[in-house]
This record gives sequence, C-alpha cells and structure tokens, in this order.
Amino acid sequence: MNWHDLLFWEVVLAGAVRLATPLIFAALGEMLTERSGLINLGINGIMTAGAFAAVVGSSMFGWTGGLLAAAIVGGLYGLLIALSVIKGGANQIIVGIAIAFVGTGLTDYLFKIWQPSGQSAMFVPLVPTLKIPGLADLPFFGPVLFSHTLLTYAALVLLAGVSFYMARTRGGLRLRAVGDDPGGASLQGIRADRIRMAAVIVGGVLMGIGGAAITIGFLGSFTSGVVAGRGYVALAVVIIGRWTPAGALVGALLFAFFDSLSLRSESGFAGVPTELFYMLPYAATLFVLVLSARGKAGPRALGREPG
Amino acid sequence: MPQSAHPLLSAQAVTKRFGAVTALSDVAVELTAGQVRAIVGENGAGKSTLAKILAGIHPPDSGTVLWNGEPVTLSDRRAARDLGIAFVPQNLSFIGTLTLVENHMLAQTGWRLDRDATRAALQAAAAEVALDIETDRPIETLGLAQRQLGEIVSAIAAGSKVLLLDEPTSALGPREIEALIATMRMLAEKGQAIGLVTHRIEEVMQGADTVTVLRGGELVFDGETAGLDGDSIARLMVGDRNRDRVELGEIQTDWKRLMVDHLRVERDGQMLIEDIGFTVRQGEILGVAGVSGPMQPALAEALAGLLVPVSGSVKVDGVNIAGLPARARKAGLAYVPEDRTRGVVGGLSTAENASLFRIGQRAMSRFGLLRDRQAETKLGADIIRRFDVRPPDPSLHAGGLSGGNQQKLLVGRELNDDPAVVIAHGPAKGLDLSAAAAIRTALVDVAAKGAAVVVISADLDELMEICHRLVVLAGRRISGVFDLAEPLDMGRLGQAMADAAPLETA
Repeated sequence: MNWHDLLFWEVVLAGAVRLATPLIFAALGEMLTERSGLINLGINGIMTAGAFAAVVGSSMFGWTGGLLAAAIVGGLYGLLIALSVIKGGANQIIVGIAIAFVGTGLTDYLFKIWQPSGQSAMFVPLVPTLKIPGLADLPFFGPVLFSHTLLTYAALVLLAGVSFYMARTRGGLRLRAVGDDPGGASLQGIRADRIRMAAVIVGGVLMGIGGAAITIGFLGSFTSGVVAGRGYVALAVVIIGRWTPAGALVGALLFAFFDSLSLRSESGFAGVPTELFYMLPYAATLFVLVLSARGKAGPRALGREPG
Repeated sequence: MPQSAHPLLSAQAVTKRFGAVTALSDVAVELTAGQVRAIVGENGAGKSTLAKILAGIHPPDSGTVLWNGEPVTLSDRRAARDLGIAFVPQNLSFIGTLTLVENHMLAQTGWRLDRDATRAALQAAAAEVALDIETDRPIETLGLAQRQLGEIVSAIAAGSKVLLLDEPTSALGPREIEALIATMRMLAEKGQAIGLVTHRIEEVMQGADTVTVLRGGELVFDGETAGLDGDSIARLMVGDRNRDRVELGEIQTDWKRLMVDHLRVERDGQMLIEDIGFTVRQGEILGVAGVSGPMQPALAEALAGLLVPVSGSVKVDGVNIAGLPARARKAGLAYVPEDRTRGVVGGLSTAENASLFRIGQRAMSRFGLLRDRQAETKLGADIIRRFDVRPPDPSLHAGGLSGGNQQKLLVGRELNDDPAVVIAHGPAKGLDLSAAAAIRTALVDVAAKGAAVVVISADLDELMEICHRLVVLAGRRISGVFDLAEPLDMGRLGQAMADAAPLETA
C-alpha cells in the first residue's frame, strides 16, 4: 500500500475523521470558554483526566458509563477553574497551567493505583461504530465518512448545534457580549459572571468528552501520555478557526489529516525516518497557526482578569 | 406645552454620598411626559449622579424615587428599564463588536433571536422620529452621533417612556448637536419624558422646557426655562462665590518664567488645543479653568513637555521644552499629573519615590555609580517632614499610603527643589479637606519663592482661592482671562465656561 493507491488515501482520510473527533470536542469546549472571555489553559490536563475516567467508567458500566464519567470529571475541572478564577479572583493563566499539570499528574497516579502493573493490558468497551445504511457501502466515501463511532457523528451534530447557538440564540449573543465587553454587558443587565461560570463548566465537560473520544473512541485503553498534547493542539485549532465552530472543524481536520498520515507512514516511507512523520501534524498546525493568527479575531476581553 | 399631568418619574429629597464626598444633598426633580428637563451644573455639581439615581444605577442613600407617583426601589439599571426608564450614559453603553440589532436583542427576552423582526422594530422606531440609523454594522465602526442615536432608538423601540441622556452632546459637533436637540423635541412631542444632563447653556435654552440647576450637590433652581436667559442660568450654575482667598504674595517682577506661544496640540488625530498663548511671571499662580474634557490633560502634558505639540513653543526661562520632557526637567519644570499613579510608583518606597528623578545625580549616589541609600532616606525624610506625609516612614511602600498622602509625596517631590515652573493638574482632586489645603499651601509657597505656577483644575473654588489670574479653557481656545485681584464678573465667567464652542468631531 503506498500513496499511489486510492486505498491508501481512503485509510488516511477515514483515520483523519476519526482522529479529528477528540479535537472537535475539545476545541468546541475551549472555544465556548474563550468566547466568554476566559482562557482555559488546563485543557490538556482535563482531556487526560477525561480519557482516563472514560476507560474506568467504561470498564465498569460500558461505554455510556465511560462517556458520563469523562463528562463529569471534565465538568468538575471546569468548575474548579471557574470557582478559582471567577469567584476567587485567581490568575487564569496560572490556574490553567496548574490544572494542566494536575490533570496529567493526578491521572497518572490514579492509573497506577488502578493498574499497578502500569500496563495497558485492560481493554474496555468502545463507543459502538455506526455504519450508516446505504451510504457506508459507497466506495471510498463510505469508509471515509459514513462508518464511524457514534462520537464522531455526535461531534458533528454538536458542531452544528454550537453554530446555531452562537448565531441564532440570545444565549449565544450574550456569550459573545460577555467575551467582548463584560463591563458593557453588565450595563445591559447581563450577569457576566454566571455566563462565564457556565461557559467554563460546559467547556470542561466537552474537553473531558474529547479525552474520552481518544480512549473509548478508538484506542480502547489508557496509557500515560495518551493525549499526546492534543489539548494544546485544540488551543491552536480555536485560533486557526477564528473562534468559530466551522473554523474549529477545519483546524481539527487539518491536524488530524497529518496525524493520520504520519500513522500510515510509520512503516518506513522512502527512507524518511518515522520520527519526522510524527512531527508532521504538530509542525503543520504550527505553520498554519503562524499564517492564520493575524489580526484581532478573538474575543476582545480574552484573558483579561475577570470583572 | 407644559402639561398639568403629574410627573412620570421623580425623586424626592435624595442624598448620595461617595465616601466622604456628598455628591447630592436633599435634591428633588420631576420628569413629566412630553417635556424636556435639563439638569445642569458645573463639574461635580451632582447632575450625573442624579440621573444615575433615576436610572437605577446608584441607589440613593436617602430619599425616594417615585414612578407615576408611587415610590419604587430601582435595584439596578435593568429594573429601571423594565419600568420604562432608559439611560444613555456619557460614554455610551452598547457593545462595540455587536451591531445595533444585536445590542438591542441582548436585552430582550426569549431564547431565539429574530434579527428581521428586531431590525424592523428599530427602523420603525427610528422612522417615528425621522431618524436614519445603521442597524447591521458593528457599533464601533459607527460615528459617535450614530451610536448615540442608536441607543436612543433602541430605548424607544423597547418601549421606554423616560429617556435620560447624560452629557449627550459633549463629543458631538455643532450640527450633530442641533440634530440631537431636534430629535429630543420630537420625542417629547410623542410623549416621552426627557432628562438632559448638560453643562452647556445653549442646549438648555434651545431644547428644554424646564431646568434643574445643581451646584455643589444642592438644588439651586427648579423652574421653567421660559423667562430665563443664558446669563441668569450661568449665574445660577456658578453661584455668588464668597471668595476665600489665601494671602497671595505680590508679584514683584515682570520676569516671565513660563512663555507659551501659539501652542497647538493634537491627540489621536483630534485637534484639542488650537493656538493658545499665555505667560506666567515669577511668583504668579495662573489657574486654568473650564469644563473637563480631553483638552485639560492634553494641555498639561504639552506644558510638561510630554506631548509633542503640532506647533508652537513652551519656554521655561527662555528654553523651549515643547515635546522634550528631559530638557523640561533640566530647565526646572515640575509636573504634578492628574493621575497620581503616573507620578508615584506604588511598588517603591517613599524615599525611592522622593529621589526618583535624582538617580545618578552626584548627591544621590556613591561615585556616580551606586545608589546612596542614606541620601535617599534623608531626602525622603525631608519631604515627609516638609509636606506632612503620613505615616512618616521613608521606608514604607508608597502604594500603601492613602491617596492624600501619595499626593503630598508627589507634590513634595516636585516642589522640593525650588522649581522654576510648576504644572499641576488637579492637584487636590479627590482629597480630603486637610490634605487639599496642605497641597494648596505648598503651591502658594513655591510661588512665593519665585516659581511660576500653572494650576489646571475643574474645581473653580480651588482656583479662585489660590490663583492670581484665571484663564478659561473652552472648546479648543482660551475663552476668557480674569484677574482675580479685581472683583469677578460671575456672569462673564459663567458665559466663558459654558459658551464653549463644541469640539468638532472628525
């Protein structure tokens, strides 16, 4: 199988869609948070915690339990950030970095307790795959687009939902208002703090599910470092996507495409070292980020102290 | 036009304090449907505070607000708006990144947005008062007048019955002001009750049916505009001041230590000062009065050499320091900025602040290389003693001092070296009586020692107390010069302050 084959690209693209799923969830979570004017730098830790919680939950109650566990853990981290930054007045950058470390460190610790051998021997139930009748049998497009896990379809539905929320509902409008000008929004009688609390918590839930989409979405097990910095990629994806859901989709697919390509290229490829291919998705994301992150597209009040 | 109907919105005996300052004392006001009421006064007279109490932004400390004759508690701006009281603040309140349609929808209820219906409602409300509004561009891309009209139209479309406008004309050009007044008149004819907060007498004469004049937080006049003339309103605003002048030294010489010539200053593309010239002699204190605006900081910074003027010169003892802050310092210019956090470094000690501009000077260093902390501490202690900074400890962090003591430290540092020229902007602003008095005394003393002093202040009483001469800055020019050694013509002063040609907007 090489790049001359259509089959090669079929596998790469199908993989890209699968690998984009966690990023879509995480990036949507980060986007909602940042739209409220706060930045959640703990996203990688929260995804790690969600990835692990999903495996534990799935091993006990099946994949629905896994998803629920990941959502709850993500939401709790979101709550922790919301309380310390919005209610406690802590610096959101510091809190975010702390959560990034706590999320990964605590998860590794809990993993060691749960699986003392440290092995990823335990495989857990995955989110089921749904082959869409009729469409899944299409050549090329069937495998690429129409035979994925429920999570992938859910990510796309969520994407459409968030788009609708941002553009067509009063809640979305208020979220934008708070993220751009919390003082002005307060003058309009909007409770900026409440909206931010909600955004950070919902954002945390989505980041947790994003983590789950890695472990119970396709891997079936947890290992230390399984998230592989995808939280930070999601941060970049939000910027590349200019804080819009559709843009986040494009950014997520971009990374996932190169990620998938690098996985296929593992088995030696024209003598190029595999390590170089591992670097590819990150390098490509960085490259696009540098090209696209111009101008002032982000929420105006992003990253400023609450208030 | 005045109707006998009972007032729609009124306040009775309201008092409001901010800390130690009483902003309003036992004031009453009534807004009636179909009428424009002007609320006028100088800076700090309490007119904005009164409007904000009516709008639910500030709760009064005592007194009542009545809606249709019934006492109401307006817990916030939203509560007021739900009754039908709209408030358009001076700096406007809509969110710049959103369009007018979106800003209007923010405050509505229901989860679904209907842009088309909202746009139609806004257009209909605008058409009612013959306005043309832009509904679908981000507010921040519109001109100030458009934004203001947008907020007014949004209020009408939301069904408000009372419209409170806080200094709506302060940033408008003459034609825009005329249009706004015409709009207000039309709104009143449609049955709105309008409260117009302003300091410009022309607007009162042109647009208002009734007028409330406040001075120093107290109600000095409440009545119909008809039968009043601009001069009498100006007199009411300024009042008959019992001038409590301090003993000022005679000016001995004709030595002009500060000479300002044809000074023109621009900021952010806006012409703020156009062709101003004056001189200040040795020992003289010149007050710069006028309604606060962007001109005062621009003038202060230009005089201190911090802002590069478009043209003109500022000479300290013959040396042109325009745009050259370091040369200004060297020539003996002392500067007390309006914002004391720009003059006092909170994280440094009192002694370090005191010696801030003398780092590297021989007397403050060892071998011109190392800091001489003993000398710094001694200088700090000197200033603390001379200017009564409390607590008297040079090692304390300046940021921990009270506002008044920070200001004393700042003024002390600036005046300690017997400067040639002193530029002080709002030197006693926001200070308690004793600290303010100490600072004024220090300014009088430094003048007596031979400095030429310029005090820029919104507090007319302060200027009348310590200045030899007064210039009034209005519009972009000096609109009047008053010798305070002679009895003051209050009417002329009021006119000079109020008849300012409005700033033209680009």
